[in-house]
Amino acid sequence: MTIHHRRKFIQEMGFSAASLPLLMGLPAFSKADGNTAKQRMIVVFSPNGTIPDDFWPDDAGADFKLQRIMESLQPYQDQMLILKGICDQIKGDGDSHMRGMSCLLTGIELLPGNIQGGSHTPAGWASGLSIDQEVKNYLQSKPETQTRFGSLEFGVVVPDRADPWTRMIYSGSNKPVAPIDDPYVMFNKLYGKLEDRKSVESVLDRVRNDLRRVRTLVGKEDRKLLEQHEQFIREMEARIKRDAEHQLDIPAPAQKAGVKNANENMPDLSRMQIDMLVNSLQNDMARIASLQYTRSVGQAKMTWLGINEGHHGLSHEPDSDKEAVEKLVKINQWYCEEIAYLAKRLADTPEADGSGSMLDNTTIVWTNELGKGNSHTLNDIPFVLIGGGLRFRMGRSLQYGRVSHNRLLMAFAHAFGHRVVSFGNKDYCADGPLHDLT
Amino acid sequence: MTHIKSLCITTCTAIVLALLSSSLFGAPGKRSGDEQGKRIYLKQCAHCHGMRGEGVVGVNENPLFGNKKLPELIQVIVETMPEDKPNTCKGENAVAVGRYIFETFYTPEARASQKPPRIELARLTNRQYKQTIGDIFTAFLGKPELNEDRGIHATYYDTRGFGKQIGQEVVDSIHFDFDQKLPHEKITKKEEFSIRWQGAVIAEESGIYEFIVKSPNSIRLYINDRETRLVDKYVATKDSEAEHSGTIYLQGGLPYFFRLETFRFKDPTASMSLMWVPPGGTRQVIPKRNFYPHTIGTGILVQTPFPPDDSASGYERGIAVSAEWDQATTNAAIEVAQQVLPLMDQMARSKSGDDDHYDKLRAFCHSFAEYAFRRPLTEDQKAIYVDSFFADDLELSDSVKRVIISTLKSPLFLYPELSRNPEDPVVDSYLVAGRLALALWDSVPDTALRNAAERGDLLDPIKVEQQIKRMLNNSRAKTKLDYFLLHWLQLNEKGEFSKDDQHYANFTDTIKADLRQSLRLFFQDVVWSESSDYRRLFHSPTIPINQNLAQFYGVEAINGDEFQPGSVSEHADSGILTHPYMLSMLAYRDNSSPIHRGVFITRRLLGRTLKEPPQATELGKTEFGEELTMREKVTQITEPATCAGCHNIINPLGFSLENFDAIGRYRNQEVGKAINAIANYNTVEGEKVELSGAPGLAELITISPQAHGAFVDHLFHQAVKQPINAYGDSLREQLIEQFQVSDFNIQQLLTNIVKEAVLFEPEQEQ
Repeated sequence: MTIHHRRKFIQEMGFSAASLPLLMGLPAFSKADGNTAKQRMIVVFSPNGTIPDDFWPDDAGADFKLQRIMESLQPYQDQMLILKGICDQIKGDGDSHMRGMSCLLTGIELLPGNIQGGSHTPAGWASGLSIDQEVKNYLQSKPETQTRFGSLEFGVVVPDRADPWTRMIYSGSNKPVAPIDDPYVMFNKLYGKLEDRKSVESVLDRVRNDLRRVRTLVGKEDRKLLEQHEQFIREMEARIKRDAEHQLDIPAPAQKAGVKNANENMPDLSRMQIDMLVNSLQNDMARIASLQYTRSVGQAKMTWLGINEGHHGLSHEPDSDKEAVEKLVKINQWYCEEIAYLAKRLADTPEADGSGSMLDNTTIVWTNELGKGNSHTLNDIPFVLIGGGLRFRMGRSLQYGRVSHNRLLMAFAHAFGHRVVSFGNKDYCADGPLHDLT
Repeated sequence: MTHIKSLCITTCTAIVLALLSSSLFGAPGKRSGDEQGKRIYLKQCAHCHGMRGEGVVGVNENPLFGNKKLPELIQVIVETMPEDKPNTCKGENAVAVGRYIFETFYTPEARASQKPPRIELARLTNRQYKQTIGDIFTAFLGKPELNEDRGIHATYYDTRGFGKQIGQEVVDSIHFDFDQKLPHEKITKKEEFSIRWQGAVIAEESGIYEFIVKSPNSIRLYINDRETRLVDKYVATKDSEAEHSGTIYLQGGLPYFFRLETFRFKDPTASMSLMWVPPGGTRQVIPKRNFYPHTIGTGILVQTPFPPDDSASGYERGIAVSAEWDQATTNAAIEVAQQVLPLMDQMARSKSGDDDHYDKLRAFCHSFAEYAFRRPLTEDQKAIYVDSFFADDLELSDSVKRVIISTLKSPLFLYPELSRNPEDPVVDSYLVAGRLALALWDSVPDTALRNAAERGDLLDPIKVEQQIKRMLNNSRAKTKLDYFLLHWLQLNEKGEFSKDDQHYANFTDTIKADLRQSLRLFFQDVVWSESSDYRRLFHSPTIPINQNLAQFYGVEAINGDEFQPGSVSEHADSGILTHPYMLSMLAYRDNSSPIHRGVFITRRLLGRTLKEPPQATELGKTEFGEELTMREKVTQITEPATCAGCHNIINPLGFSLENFDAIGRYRNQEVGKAINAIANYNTVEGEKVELSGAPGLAELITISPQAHGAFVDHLFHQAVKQPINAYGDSLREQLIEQFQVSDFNIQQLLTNIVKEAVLFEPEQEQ
């Protein structure tokens, strides 16, 4: 049995306890029309930098060879865009992990605050919204791209604490958005009302019978009250029946029961979240999503790979520690395999409107808060794009000489037709969106 | 000393009296004038006043209902009717039609006798629903037993991460400026420390509480729920709002788990202030009396909003259902299930994976349904409400969830009167137990009451009375009477007032909150004292006051925040009548209001009915000469004949409190003139009495049988939530008499009310 914390559940549902909305009469799942193919973006985060030599292809251009960290993405090589030389140049308060995380998608400085990292000055939250939320707001503002949630923020084993190391998504300055890392909580958010509907449906018969049975206990005038009550129950039944006809296109994924939200279950949790992510996009609940593995400075202990040290600890070891490097490669390979699984699920799922596979219309953006763990550099931040959602020219390895990552964030917005003139700190946007992506 | 004087009856003319005397004191039954009165009414009056005085749309929409005595009514008819030809309906005709009007529909009694009120089928009110749910699960989770300790436990750390603790203590409240003084002597670094305050917060009333945390530093606030924060501002940024709040529904009279954490790290400033806005109250730093320094468990609290209950009769009743209400019961059932699931093993004393997990959870569900239905389940009921959900191929948690939803949606839960023994649906001990719990606690029976029901004790009035006495000692009865007070004195309805800064500077929210608390404590002191004497509510030279109030009203110093007997003025000796909260609530922003005070006393304390005013005249918007006193202004503005009918009753009552200004301070002068607080008042019985100030008013209320009746009505309706007249013709009179004989013992009155109501058996309906 899995434990869902109750107020948390309510919060995750996206409404305050005081305004618990009507269970029934849910806004129908938005069915954006299929005239133009959908465009989707999924940002996937894994922490602590990479091992550059085993990550970046040697060559630029269309003819490149994947290094061993990315070997599992081989089947999708022609749908990949590997961007080397993208740098997070945001300065200011906070250590590299904090800025790496909280400026990654926002492209703007952190507010001064009370959170002290391993170096630098203490800092608070990012002072602007993140690109995924920018795009989400844009898509939600138009009826044809509006969806039930707009965006969905998934997590895998994210520690239960809110600070600039654990949050990369911001809905505005000083407004971090928490990823949902408990798959059961996420399940409730996505399908919970449907499950509740089933529970309610299963008891209404009894309630009606009860109401009829107790009618004999009261006089004529009071009977009216009970008849009225019964009428409401009948209406609710009818409503549930009607709603059932507007069910999901694709049924909710079957969920493994009782998986505790803990480090050792990371492989299971990851797959549960990915399956739900794919299903939610398939049902068009959102066009924008993110999947955050642990957090910056994440200490995943990948015992299932035979690694007993925490990831962040290992990432500090010098390059000369071959054993540590080997372990870090393995860790990054594991993350990459999860992304390959996500890509495969999307590639194997055809679009309902016949516009190819879901991967044709979805771009996975795999990124990281650092370029390299032991140097804490914010240069050469990993950005690996897979899939056709952004309509970029894929199947390429690009090598830039240090460009600001704000320009890539701008390119994401432009890819959705949202032509921002800058994003985040304007100072890094002067040259406009990266122009050689399309 | 007597403060009221009887004057002679002067209201009606000798002629009218003479005409009346023959029939008024004659033999009852059909009188010669009856048919005549009806004939005249239907011919002459009904086209404007309606067939039964209800009024005629577009002609005269004011119903012909009121509270004049018969002779006054006849006089009005003579002097004003018919409208186009006054003084043509007189003599015997006027008496006959007057009596017909008076006895058929004019008085509330006449209207009531036309269609006797009945005990209506009622669902749980919203308050009852929420309290019931809370108490049911408290039975499984265990009720925290509080000792006398108050305040909140603080633990101090000299790092930001709540690492090594360097000290602890119990503090009164959370309101600190750490720039002025470091939180603890052992904290050495000004720029880095952390603090955790933990224990419980005690709610007084049921309702929505807003918790407000003001701090430029890190904040995490937990109320009841140990996992989810009501306020989470762990990260403090320079431009972040320093004030954060969260709201939560809490049940009155109960403690809830509380934890507040903060840390400072190089923040330019450091402070922490924890305030709340209780339901209907004002914002204040949470006082010591609402904190408990020991940690307690978690409870189940329904947060789902419900549409308001029907309160057309002046008290909340569950006599109507709506689609919104039905939907709310569904949402609430789901919410309860969501809250219970994480705690179900704790409640069932079971463990996932154990062989008996299934059995224990099923047994827990049986027990839960028995609490909810307020009686043991038959084998059939067990099968229907519980076992069938366990028989399905469901996850255990889904079984429990469905049992909860199905039980809480069932009419047996929602309509307590319908939960009968299916084999023999008579009034039995279990039904009476359920009624007792609702009347005294707005909740479900506790173990002792369940046991008494099982023994079949509760059809015996003596044993019922014993249970009532026991139940009155429970904190839930205290909460219920507090709730009664709020409604009786309309504290929530009228509690949103403020005072003019110019005249009453420093009448802050804190003063207001302290005054309100003082009033509640005063009422509690009286009710829960040995004599529980209603009259003391209107005769008391002292009220509870604290240092803050003593300073504000400039009376002898009192030390500390604790309330203790005192007085804001030596003239304020009439209990709630001269309580500064009441006087402030019933006043304008910058002056007293005899009309507000008078209307309140007429309706709530003396139990007289008043029509709505025929025209809205705002005193504040009327131009008066500078030299007029408030009394003179009111006299002038209410002079027109259309006003005078009611204001002859209202004004004298209000004038008797004119010695008290808009915040309840004593005054003997206004605009350079001496205050005149002496006024002549006409009682319902037609007697003219002279009230000399507040003491005269207090005496009137304590000796007036009509006032006694009004108090009985209010208490009855809040407890039973059915009309008192539905319980037989004589119960009201009987209760009033018992009240008088018992030296106006409020606890005894409540005991009598509840005893009579729970054992009452209406005649079988045909």
